[in-house]
Amino acid sequence: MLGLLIKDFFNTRKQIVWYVAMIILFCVLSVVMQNVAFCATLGILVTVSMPLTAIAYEEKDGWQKFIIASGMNIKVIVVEKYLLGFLFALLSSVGYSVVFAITGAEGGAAELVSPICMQIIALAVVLPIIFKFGVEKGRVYMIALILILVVALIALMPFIGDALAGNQAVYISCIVCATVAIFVASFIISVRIYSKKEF
Amino acid sequence: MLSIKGLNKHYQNFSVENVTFDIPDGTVVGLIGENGAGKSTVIKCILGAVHPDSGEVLLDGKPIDRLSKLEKQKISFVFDDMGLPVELNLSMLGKVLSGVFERWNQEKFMQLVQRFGLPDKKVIKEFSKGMKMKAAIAVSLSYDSQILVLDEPTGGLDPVVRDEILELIYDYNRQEKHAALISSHITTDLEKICDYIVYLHGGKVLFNEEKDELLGRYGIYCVSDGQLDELDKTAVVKVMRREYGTDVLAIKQKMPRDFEFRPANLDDIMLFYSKGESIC
Repeated sequence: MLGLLIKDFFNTRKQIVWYVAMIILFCVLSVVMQNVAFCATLGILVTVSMPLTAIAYEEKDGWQKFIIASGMNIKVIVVEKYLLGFLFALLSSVGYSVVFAITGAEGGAAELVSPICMQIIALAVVLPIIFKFGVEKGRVYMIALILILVVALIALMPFIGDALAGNQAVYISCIVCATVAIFVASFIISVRIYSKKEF
Repeated sequence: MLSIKGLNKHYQNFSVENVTFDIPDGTVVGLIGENGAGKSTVIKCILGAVHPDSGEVLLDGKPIDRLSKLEKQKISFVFDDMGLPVELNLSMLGKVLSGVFERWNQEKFMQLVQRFGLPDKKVIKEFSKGMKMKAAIAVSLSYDSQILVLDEPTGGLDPVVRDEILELIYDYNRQEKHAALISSHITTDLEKICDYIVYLHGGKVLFNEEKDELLGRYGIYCVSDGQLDELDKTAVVKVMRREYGTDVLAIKQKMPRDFEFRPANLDDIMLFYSKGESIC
């Protein structure tokens, strides 16, 4: 696992510098503009982009064939990509939390937790698609699926808002549980997809 | 010993059918065949990158898909496209692979890197094709494997580099119980180092024979149609009609002693088997 993670850090070292710089820039922008949405949105982008970039390199290099031939367990190969995304979710969440504290956003805990969960959900939605179709084809399906999810979310928001109005604890519990459930389901699906893949 | 038993893999336009052969300890087995004959598919099946529809690959009697990581790493491999992350230099690669291979020997890896004259601080993507192949071979020789599987290791390389690579495979094979499987369509390379030759044609094994016996058995004869009619038909393996006469791949022992012939090499045998016609 550590070898795979190190490989991804080495492979994407130039992109990492850019992403970290972007996180800092957007955090500063959010503070200046007094709007946490900037760094919340970037957090989702970075969380999804990092494993995507790493997988794109692997596809180009033929690394997936190499690592399967090395006898590496498929679950380890898959979990490493989730971990990579998760690490960047964590990094951007730290930035977001700092911005949230400085700007003193009014939404309360729900507003802090929601974007962090959204990062994890986005990662959980994207990775199985990329494992199944590859980065090139998967990008199209990924955009389509995320659009559907966003539209669905916007359509459902009034109902959810009404149902949870004034009860942040219930809302937070629900979104955290949903995030964990989606994440676990996504991992199981990804392992199944990867097990059947040929290189 | 690595055994491939009744391997089948069907694609829309191509199939590998009932491929069976062994790679006994201490031997080098050459897998020959034209482009698209199924060599890479067989090798990918052996290494687990392709799932066969049926059949099995056994390492010392144990199915390959049930091996632990440590057991699987008794097989080292070199793909024709390397499979290494080309944005890394060899120092970085060593650090990565020490976390991938249980018996990774960093000291040996760096020795091989030095022996091959590879720069350890230059990223792999800036290497020439020969250097990339040497890097891939250095990796494959650095984790104490017992079987080396190489897919087209000498394809597209100049004769000097090819010779160096063959020398390395030969050195590897001289160690106790070490075996190698090499797929290539450059048959002259295989003639130099192989003990057995497996010929794959259209996804099927046409023959699996001891190399010296194979090369010693056949001769190429140039005969007229009249002479061909008089020949012992069991001596004639394949014939190819030419403008100047007929070339015959025949079993030397069964042919008349006064017929002139030239020794058949693997290229000839491959050509006759794939393009020639039977007369029996």
